[in-house]
Amino acid sequence: MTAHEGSDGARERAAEAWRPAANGVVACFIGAALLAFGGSFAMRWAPDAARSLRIVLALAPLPALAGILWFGVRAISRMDELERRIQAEALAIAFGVLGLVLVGYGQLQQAGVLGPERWTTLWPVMLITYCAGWVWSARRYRGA
Amino acid sequence: MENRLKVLRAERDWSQAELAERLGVSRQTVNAVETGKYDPSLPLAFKIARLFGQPIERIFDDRTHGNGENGGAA
Repeated sequence: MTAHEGSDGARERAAEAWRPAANGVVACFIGAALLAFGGSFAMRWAPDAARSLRIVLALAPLPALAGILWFGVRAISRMDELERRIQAEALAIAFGVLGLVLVGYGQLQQAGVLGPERWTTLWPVMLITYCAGWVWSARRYRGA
Repeated sequence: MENRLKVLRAERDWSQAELAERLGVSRQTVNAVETGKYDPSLPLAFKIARLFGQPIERIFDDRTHGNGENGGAA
C-alpha cells in the first residue's frame, strides 16, 4: 500500500466524521450571521430601544454559535485516536496564535498605534490558524 | 517505534482500508502506524495484537528508537 492510500483515507475519514455535522454547522453559522446583522440593524434603526431588548438582540446569535460548538464536539467524538490528536494539535496552535495576536494587539494599543479592539475580527484569526494547524498536523502523520 | 503491521497485513492480503475497518479506525491511522509516524494507544495496540493473534511485543518493537515517546511524528 502506498502513502497515497493513507492520505486519501485521511480525507475520506475526516469528511465522513464531519459530513453529518457540516449541514448543522452551516445552518448555525447562517443563523448566527443573520441574527447578528439583524440585531445590529435593529439597534441602529431603534437606538432608543429598551435596555432589555438591546441585550436580547445583542446576545441572540449566541445559541446559534453554541450549536456550531455542539456539532464540532460531536464530530470530534466520532473520530479515532489519531484524528483526535490532530484536532487537539490544531486547536492548540489556534489557541496559541490567538494568544500571540491578542498580546501583540494589546501592546500596539498601549503604544497608541492601534485603536480599540473589534472582537469580532478574532473569529477569522481563530478559524484560519485552526485550519492551518489541521493541515500541518495531518501532514506530520502522513506516511512517507 | 517500529512494527510488523505492514508485513502481517500483507500476509493476510488485506488492504489498509480492510485493516482499518477491522480495527475501527481510519486508513490514515493504519498508514501512520505502519510507517512509524504514530504509535498507537495501548488499547489499539491490544486490538491489533488480538486481531493478528500475536503478543504485542512480537508486533511492536521499541528498541530501535529507544524507549520513549509516544506519537513519534516527524
